[in-house]
Amino acid sequence: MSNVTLEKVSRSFGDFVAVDSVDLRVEEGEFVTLLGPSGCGKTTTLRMVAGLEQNTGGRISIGNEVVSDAASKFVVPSERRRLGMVFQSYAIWPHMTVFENVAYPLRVRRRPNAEVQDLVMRALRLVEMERFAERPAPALSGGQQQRVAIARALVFEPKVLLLDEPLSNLDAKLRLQMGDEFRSIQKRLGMTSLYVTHDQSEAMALSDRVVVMDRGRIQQIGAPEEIYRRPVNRTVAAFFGTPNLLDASVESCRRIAGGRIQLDVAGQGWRGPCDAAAELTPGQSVTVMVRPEDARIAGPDAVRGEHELQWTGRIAHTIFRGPTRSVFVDTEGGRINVDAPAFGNYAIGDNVNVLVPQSAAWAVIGHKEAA
Amino acid sequence: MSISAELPPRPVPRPSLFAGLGAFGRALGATSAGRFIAIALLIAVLAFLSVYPLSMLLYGSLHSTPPGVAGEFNLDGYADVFTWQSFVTLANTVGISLAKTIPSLMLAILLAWILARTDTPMRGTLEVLVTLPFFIPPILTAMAWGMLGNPQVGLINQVYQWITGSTAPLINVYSYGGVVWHMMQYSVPFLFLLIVDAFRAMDPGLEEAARMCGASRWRTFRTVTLQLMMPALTGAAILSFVRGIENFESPLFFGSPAGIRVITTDIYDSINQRSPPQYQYATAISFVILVLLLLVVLAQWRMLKGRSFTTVTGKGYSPAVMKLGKWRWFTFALCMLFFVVTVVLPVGQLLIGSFFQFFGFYQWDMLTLDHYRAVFSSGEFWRGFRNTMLLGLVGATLTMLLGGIVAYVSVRTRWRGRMLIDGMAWLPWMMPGIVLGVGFLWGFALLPHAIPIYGTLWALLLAYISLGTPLSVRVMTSAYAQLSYDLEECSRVHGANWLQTMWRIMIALAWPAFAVGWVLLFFGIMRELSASVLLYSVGSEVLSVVLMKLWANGNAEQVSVIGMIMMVMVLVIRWIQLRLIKTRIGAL
Amino acid sequence: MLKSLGRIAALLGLIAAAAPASAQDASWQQVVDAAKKEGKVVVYNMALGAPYFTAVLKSFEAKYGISVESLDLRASELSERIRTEQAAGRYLGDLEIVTTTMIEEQLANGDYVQKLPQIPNAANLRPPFRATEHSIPAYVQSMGILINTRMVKDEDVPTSWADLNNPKWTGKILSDDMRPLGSGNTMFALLQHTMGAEFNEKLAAQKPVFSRDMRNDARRVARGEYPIYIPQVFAFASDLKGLPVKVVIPKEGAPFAEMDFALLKNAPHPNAARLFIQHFLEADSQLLYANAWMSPVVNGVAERANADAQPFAKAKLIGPAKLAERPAMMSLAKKLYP
Repeated sequence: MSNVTLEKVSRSFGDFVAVDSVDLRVEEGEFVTLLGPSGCGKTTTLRMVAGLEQNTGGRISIGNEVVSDAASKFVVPSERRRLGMVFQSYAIWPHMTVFENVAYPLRVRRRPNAEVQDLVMRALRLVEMERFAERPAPALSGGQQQRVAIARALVFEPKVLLLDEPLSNLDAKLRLQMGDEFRSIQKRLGMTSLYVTHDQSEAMALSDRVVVMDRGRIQQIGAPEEIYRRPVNRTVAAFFGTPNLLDASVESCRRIAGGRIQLDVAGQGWRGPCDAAAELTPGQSVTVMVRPEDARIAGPDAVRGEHELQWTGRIAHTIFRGPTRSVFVDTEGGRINVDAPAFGNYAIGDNVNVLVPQSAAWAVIGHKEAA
Repeated sequence: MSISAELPPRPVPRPSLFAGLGAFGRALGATSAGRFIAIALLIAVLAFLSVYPLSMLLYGSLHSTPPGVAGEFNLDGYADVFTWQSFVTLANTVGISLAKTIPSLMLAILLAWILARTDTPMRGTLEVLVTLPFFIPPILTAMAWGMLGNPQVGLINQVYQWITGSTAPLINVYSYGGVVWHMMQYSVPFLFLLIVDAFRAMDPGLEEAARMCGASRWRTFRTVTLQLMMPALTGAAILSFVRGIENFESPLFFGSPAGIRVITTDIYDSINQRSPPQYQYATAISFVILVLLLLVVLAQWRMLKGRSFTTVTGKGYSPAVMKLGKWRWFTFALCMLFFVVTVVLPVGQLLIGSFFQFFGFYQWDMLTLDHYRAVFSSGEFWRGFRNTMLLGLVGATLTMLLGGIVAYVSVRTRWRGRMLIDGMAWLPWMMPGIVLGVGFLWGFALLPHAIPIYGTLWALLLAYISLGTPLSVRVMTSAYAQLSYDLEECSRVHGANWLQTMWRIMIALAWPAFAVGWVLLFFGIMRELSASVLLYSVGSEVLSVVLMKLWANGNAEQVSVIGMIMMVMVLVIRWIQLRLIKTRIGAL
Repeated sequence: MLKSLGRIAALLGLIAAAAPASAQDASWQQVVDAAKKEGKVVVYNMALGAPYFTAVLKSFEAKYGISVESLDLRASELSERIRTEQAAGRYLGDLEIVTTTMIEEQLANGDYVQKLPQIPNAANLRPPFRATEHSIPAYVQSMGILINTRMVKDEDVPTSWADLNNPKWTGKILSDDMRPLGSGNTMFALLQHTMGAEFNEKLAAQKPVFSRDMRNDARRVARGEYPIYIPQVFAFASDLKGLPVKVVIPKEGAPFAEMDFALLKNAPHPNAARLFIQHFLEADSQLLYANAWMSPVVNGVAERANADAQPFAKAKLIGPAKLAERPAMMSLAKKLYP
């Protein structure tokens, strides 16, 4: 296993900068996810690590060994980087059997037959596909192909495993199952993994750390919880779930216990304290993020607690989602989405209060326009 | 559901692939210098094979005498080309070629769809049968159709007159229709062979997606199936159109008696039937054709530019066939009809004729095996056969490999110079064969004597490779255009170098196309006469020269015997080829 | 009476044929020895493997133990290969056997052929055949009219070229194309002289149908597509026995194309080449041609031919065609047959 280091890695196509000066270090055995909307440069970044694309700037190292340096035009070709990769389309070769697909990385390295047999069957057992070894590859279902692709990527114990949206072609249920399975295999083998996805829940569930990218730049790197709770900017905040983003302005700022920073902010028809990542000066525009699951609906006469924020408004509509019910409340500050108990008694037009613990409100710089 | 998300091209431009060439290996491929050497090497090879003989011809077209004879540079050749008469001849040629290419393409698409995508009974056998006409030497089918369709005593006309009591003939092969018909017998199977694997390799998911969107079966076929096949279809159609322009036998046998003039007969006359031969005119008009045909190719480039035609993805698919119900007997009958008309009728004549002393005189006392005896006991036949087998095997294989590399560079890399390579590989097809043969003669003879090419088998081999490269490049280009990039990248990432990837993935996946191209080239080599007769020497006789000699000595029946031998070879090779394809698909 | 005359003629012919052999002096023996030392001779020819040609080669190889490499090419290919090879300094061939006019053309355009050495058998050539400085006749292809015996009644069989212009045959004559070079044009040019300009004009009015495939044309006539084909090279009809066709030798005579030997420049095996020419003109060699219905070019052979070949071997000849007249004749043909 090896680490992966990207130093100021860029990739431009003519005038278009797909990846802009990316710095990232993936530690040994770590599972890092590149997350972002399509076109954000995450796949290009992964492909540069794979050597399928050449960085026009910066340096990439795998296991402390430089594999690509734009300045000195030094490039180690893909096949000598000792990588495993799972493609979005799985790239299962239709002219080979399952066994031969998985054996391929060993065959091209001219490993003896007995060893190939042994390693391939072990890899197939790992993904529970040993029964299908002699099947022609096109005759597999999506989930099975996915497993084959993983087995192939793992079979020769690569330095790093690269995964390019491997779950995106599966149905929702299979996606969850495969994701969990994959994560457990990864943990068991302690495989350094770099994973690309546009699906935030996948990223949350699988990763040690998540790298959020947008427009070719890294927006934030951190543990899933941290990114979820404490996004550094509006873009990152907006990317996870369907948070309520409310415009406000800073009234005061103070440092409190544990080095945290607390603001007092005021919005249209509401005011109160919330947490922030950086110190801000009074008068500055901020966006306050409130997650629907942190809010609750209270009666029209409810009074907010000491550490709570409060909005008053009317229920605009509700959507039943199974475990919860989304309740949309129109307030002066904007429409707020609340995850309420599924079988509560909410009628459209009811006057209600929305209450949010102050610790669940998180402020990032800027308003909607500036995002 | 494997409804593909691959349809629109990815927004990110394709990467340049780090690739090297052959033995130059990995290090070479990883550097831009290596890439430069690789491309330079390719350019050098193609330049020698196609540009060099063409430059000899260009000289010939601009010089009052052929290379090696004192003369002066002038434009007389071109002046002779730009006359009203030449224009009429050219228009005539283009018209005839279009008249045969368009119906041939439609028929070929129909046959390919029936045989690759429906549950028509006995598809495997039919697939071998409908391609047979292509492999019969044209001179034989010309003779056979002359016997079947001459207005005086043609068999078809006699049957027609006997049935209807009419005295007017039904058909006359000595006409425009006859020329087109004779060409179609070759172009339909040719086009079929070039496109059928594209139909077979097509991911049905793409079609299913269209049907899901509410498109009718016909609309799906038109808007999805055909559109995705554009590179294969246009490439094949252009090849066929070019062949039509350069076809010689059909207009010679069926056109000239009716006063139909085309470019090739014009060229033939200017070389063979003027004294002295008008090489300047012949080469000049050939270059005019070359330019016109290059424009057609450019049009195709423009048309296909920036579109993605990936139908084979790494996601796998199950090649489903369409259930036609009772209609499948109709499609079956359609294929049989084609087979009967294009093979049974003419070849039946030839087969029966080969057992009689003379064609067309089927009397008991003339029944004989003499022609078979004569062929099998002829030392010359066996010598020609041996040489041709050797040249065919080696030539077809090398040509397909070269074509595979050229196609790869031109469709799957972003290398500078790839368009040049693609263009160079087209050139030999743009030149009428009779003239190109002269180009090889001039080119090889004028090489320094220390290079032992002229007068050896090498001359023939190189000429065959040159003549075959355009076809091999086209075949492999359409095959590659259908393969998704993932399949290749995945191989590189998992440790295979360029060459391994090429061999284990690209060639292996494009193998059906490779095999079809190989078969076409192999039999093309068996048939090639224009260049062969100018380059062969004593000891390096080839089968086509042997056939020509037999024909010239009035041994049409022995020519038929050899034709029959060639047919048997086609059947065997095609059968093996299709069985191999089947075992792959059948295992699913 | 006639028979015995024929016998005497044959006897004379034999003596004539034998004469050079008996006169063979030591110097000729030197040629033979040198030829044997050279070991082979390379002949560029247009016979395309015709059986009688191959038979002559075999007899040469058997007699002298010198191998013959025969490169079979069609006219334009042959002249272009020789021209290109010599331009490239590749002197590979010794001899060519081509039409008289092609040699004339080569002489006009360059020095592709060299002067012939003395060939003993040249003395035996029969008129009108004669050797020149650069060429010596090898064989001739004479031509007549082919008819389908089922379609042409006995009383209608043409006996003169002029009979072709009988209105009965309008649109019924298949002909080798008379416009380009080839036997059609040779016939056209020679008959223009013998029969007069009016003949060709009338023939054009008969609307003959042109073809380019000489070897298939006789069969087309046999199958009944057309009753008449012109010009039928006698030799090409000799292997049609059993088919309902007959070759007519018109009373005016048979136009012919003459094939000559020429020695190529810098021939690598000049002695073997010389010996080969000598051998080709031996009576026995020429007899092989006569038996294939061709007119022999030396004396005393026609009489020895097989009975069915005799009329053709002895046919009265019209010709040869002249190079100088060719352009005029080709353009005239083009005018008459637009």
